[in-house]
Amino acid sequence: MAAQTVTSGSRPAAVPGEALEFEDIQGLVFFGHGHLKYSRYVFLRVKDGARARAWLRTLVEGKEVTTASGKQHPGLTETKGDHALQVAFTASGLEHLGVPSEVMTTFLQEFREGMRDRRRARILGDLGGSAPEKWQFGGTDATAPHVVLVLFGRDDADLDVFHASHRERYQDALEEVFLQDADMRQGDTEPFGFRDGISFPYIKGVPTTRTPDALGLPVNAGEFILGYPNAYGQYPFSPRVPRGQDPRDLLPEVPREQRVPGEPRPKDLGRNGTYLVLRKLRQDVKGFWKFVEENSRVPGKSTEENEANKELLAAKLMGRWKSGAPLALCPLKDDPKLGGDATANNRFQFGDDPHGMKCPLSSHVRRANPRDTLVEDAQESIKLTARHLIIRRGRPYRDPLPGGEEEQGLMFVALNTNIGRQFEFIQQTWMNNPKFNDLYDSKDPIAGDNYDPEYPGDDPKDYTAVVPGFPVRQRLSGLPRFVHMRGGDYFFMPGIKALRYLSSERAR
Amino acid sequence: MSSNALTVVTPIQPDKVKELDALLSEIGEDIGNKTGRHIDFAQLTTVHFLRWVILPADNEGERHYLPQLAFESNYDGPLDAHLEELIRVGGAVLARIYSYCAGCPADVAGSVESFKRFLCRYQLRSAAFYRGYPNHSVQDVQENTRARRAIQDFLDDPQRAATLRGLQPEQLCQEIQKYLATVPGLKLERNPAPRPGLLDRFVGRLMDSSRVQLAVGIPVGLLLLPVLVPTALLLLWKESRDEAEPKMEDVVDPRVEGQEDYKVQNQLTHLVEVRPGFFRQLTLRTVLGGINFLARHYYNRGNLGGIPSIHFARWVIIDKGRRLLFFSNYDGSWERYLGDFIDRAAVGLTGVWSNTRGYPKTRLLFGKGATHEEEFKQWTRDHQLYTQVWYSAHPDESVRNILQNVAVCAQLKAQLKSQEAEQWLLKL
Repeated sequence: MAAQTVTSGSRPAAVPGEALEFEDIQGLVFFGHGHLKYSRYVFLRVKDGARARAWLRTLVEGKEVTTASGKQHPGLTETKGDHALQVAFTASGLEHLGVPSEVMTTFLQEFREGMRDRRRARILGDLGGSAPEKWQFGGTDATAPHVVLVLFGRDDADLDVFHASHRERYQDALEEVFLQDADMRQGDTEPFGFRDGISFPYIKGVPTTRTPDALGLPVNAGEFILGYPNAYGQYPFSPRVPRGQDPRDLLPEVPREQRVPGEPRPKDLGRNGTYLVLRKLRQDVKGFWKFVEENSRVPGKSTEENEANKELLAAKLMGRWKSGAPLALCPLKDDPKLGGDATANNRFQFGDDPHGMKCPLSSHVRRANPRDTLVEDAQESIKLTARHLIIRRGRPYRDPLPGGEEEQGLMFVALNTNIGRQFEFIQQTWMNNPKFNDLYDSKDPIAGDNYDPEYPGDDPKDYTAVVPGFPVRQRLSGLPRFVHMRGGDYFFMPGIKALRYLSSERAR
Repeated sequence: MSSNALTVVTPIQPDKVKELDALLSEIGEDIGNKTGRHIDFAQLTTVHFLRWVILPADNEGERHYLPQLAFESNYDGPLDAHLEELIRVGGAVLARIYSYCAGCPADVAGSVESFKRFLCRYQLRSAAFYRGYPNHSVQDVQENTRARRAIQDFLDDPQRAATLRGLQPEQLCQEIQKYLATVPGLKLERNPAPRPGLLDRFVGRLMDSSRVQLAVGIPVGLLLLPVLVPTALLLLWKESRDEAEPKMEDVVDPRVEGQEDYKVQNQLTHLVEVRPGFFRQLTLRTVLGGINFLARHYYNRGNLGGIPSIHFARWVIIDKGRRLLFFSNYDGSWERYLGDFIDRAAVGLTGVWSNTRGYPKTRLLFGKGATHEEEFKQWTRDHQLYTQVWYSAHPDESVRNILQNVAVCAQLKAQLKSQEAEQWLLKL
């Protein structure tokens, strides 16, 4: 695979308001720290605001929060750090750090309400067995985190040492409410067995090692980083601080276009920050393959034929074969070489397959990114689709259960600047919407909130997947829910200057 | 039979608003009439959608509005029959609702005629009215759904499925038709779609061909030049003085968002003050008139300027021109609906709402405005009202489903050849 650098490793030309300030942006926006295979999500609650600020100061002054500059500059492939650390806060976390309510109201409503809010839970399909009151963390006031510290290390032992050194420093100020490990031992394969991490937005102004073929349409950085123009060419709503509350001038100014009359030159708390969506998603691997097997087995056929049928049906639900090869390119048979080819495995459209004969309209891949078929006009469709993208940084997890069993799933991580238009929209309007793509009663067969016996009054007949075929479609009904919510929240992941501001003993 | 709009806005006795809100909210929460104490909406044969909304009193600054009760329905056929059915089914409960309104005659419960007269007195015309499927009645929609379900049952029967899979498309179509003929009470005949009229065809040509647009547009533009230039100048001057209204904290009733996303369909009630002055009245009414014309003669096939998810929507000018009321019945999430507004129909919407207060900065009536994505969404939310009662006769059907079913049912008795049969089977 000929990896080539498209944009040089040097900083892009300084376009006012467009040149990204890499040294101020937390690294997770630009890379998943793939060379550090082990990671731990440490969810913390503030015991003492002043001490928590002091702790945060040591992180900032010690330059311990990983940014996108220096060794980790995007576009570089060789040297990377031995550890990485990212930090983010929930709304109640910011309040505990002393952010006043007049500043809190300038954050997004989705973030302020939090993931466990009843309406948000309905939007996200977090109902029945996935309802907030059943979560391991984040679902109730008592388990709601204030801070998430994400630690990355080379191996388990290394991560333990790294975590212990930090625990020593925060334990007087913060208490742990939940710990979650997730790792990439299995490479890019997610628990159901499919290659993951293929589709990724190409951010304007960010050097990349990917080839032009794999890039797609460049998207304005403001979709993923606050303080820059977004896909509409406008500055996204960004949290702000009245000028008087930043006496040491730690924060940049709010861009002129974003000022409101009667507000004297406020300071931008959001610039170079972003919103981080974190969800622990359990995947019912056994249930998924059992369902696929039951619905693909033809009595009287040979084992090999039935095995092939099973792989085909699973691919029809996903929209890709396990290898990652898209059905849009090889609808009849898997092509593992294509699946592993990063220059080709994401280079496809659905325009020549309007009825989903190759890749079903209800498949996961076709919902998560409808590409050229969101509206009639292909070019317009690609443009509109780009208004609903997220950066994904998820990693698989395995929790040992009593009796030698394992719970498997994904620590889902998404980054975006408008939670309602990006993450929640994808979840609500594309994945969990039974009418998406002119369907009648089909949600995302992989990730959707399908039949859940724990949801009162739920009828399995209402959940179907439609696989178009000759002479007529196959319609699978009674589709169970395979991905279950176990905990999470919305976080604000500030830029370094904003972290310094949040950690300061400002006019208080 | 085509569908129509009824809007009735009546004054509420100011001291009765709380009681009315309580009654309506109770009805709204029991839309299926499980308690048997409210209205059995399912008995209505003429209604696609209806709602009651309290327009609260507003005494802010120079503004002064008394509380009013707004009713909207999207119904089939003549108004008289619709009103009579409404009163027959809703009778006693309707009388209770309107007993809180000023000017309601005392004998309302006893006399259908006097009730009708009362409602008609407060009836308002839609300034613009859009219908997603103007020629399909509630009965048609429900009949088509029944037919589709019967086909699903036939195809999805596991015993049958294996034998069907080996058939040729036309044989399969015949099997389906044979089965449908055995389903009791299923109507197989459908009236053919009415042919578009002369005006519709002309407007269609005009909208679809840029050549015709130029041929008509240039002379009309030249003719109107003496009017357009001063209008544009006046607009630019007015727009430079339009003040953005600072966002007030928590102006949105939390119940507004709380009532969304329970089913496939959602509704929106929006009320905003028109900017003062004769000029804005003129531009507002001109743009609404234009939209109404296009909705009647061009956007009448389930697609409003690229938005495929609106069942019915209307703008009504109330309070003698001082406020603009907007009702919509749409599919999917608010975020998607507003996104479609911005992505697909920003020009038309800005043309209307640029004439109202607090709207994001516009340029020459139609420009900018809604394209200020986050500001526009915020402004819409700020002016949304809680809808106490909202009923849909077909809550599980999207506009696309309804139209797809029409296409399926148009050929229930047709003898389909191989290619046609294949196409038809793709719709199932």
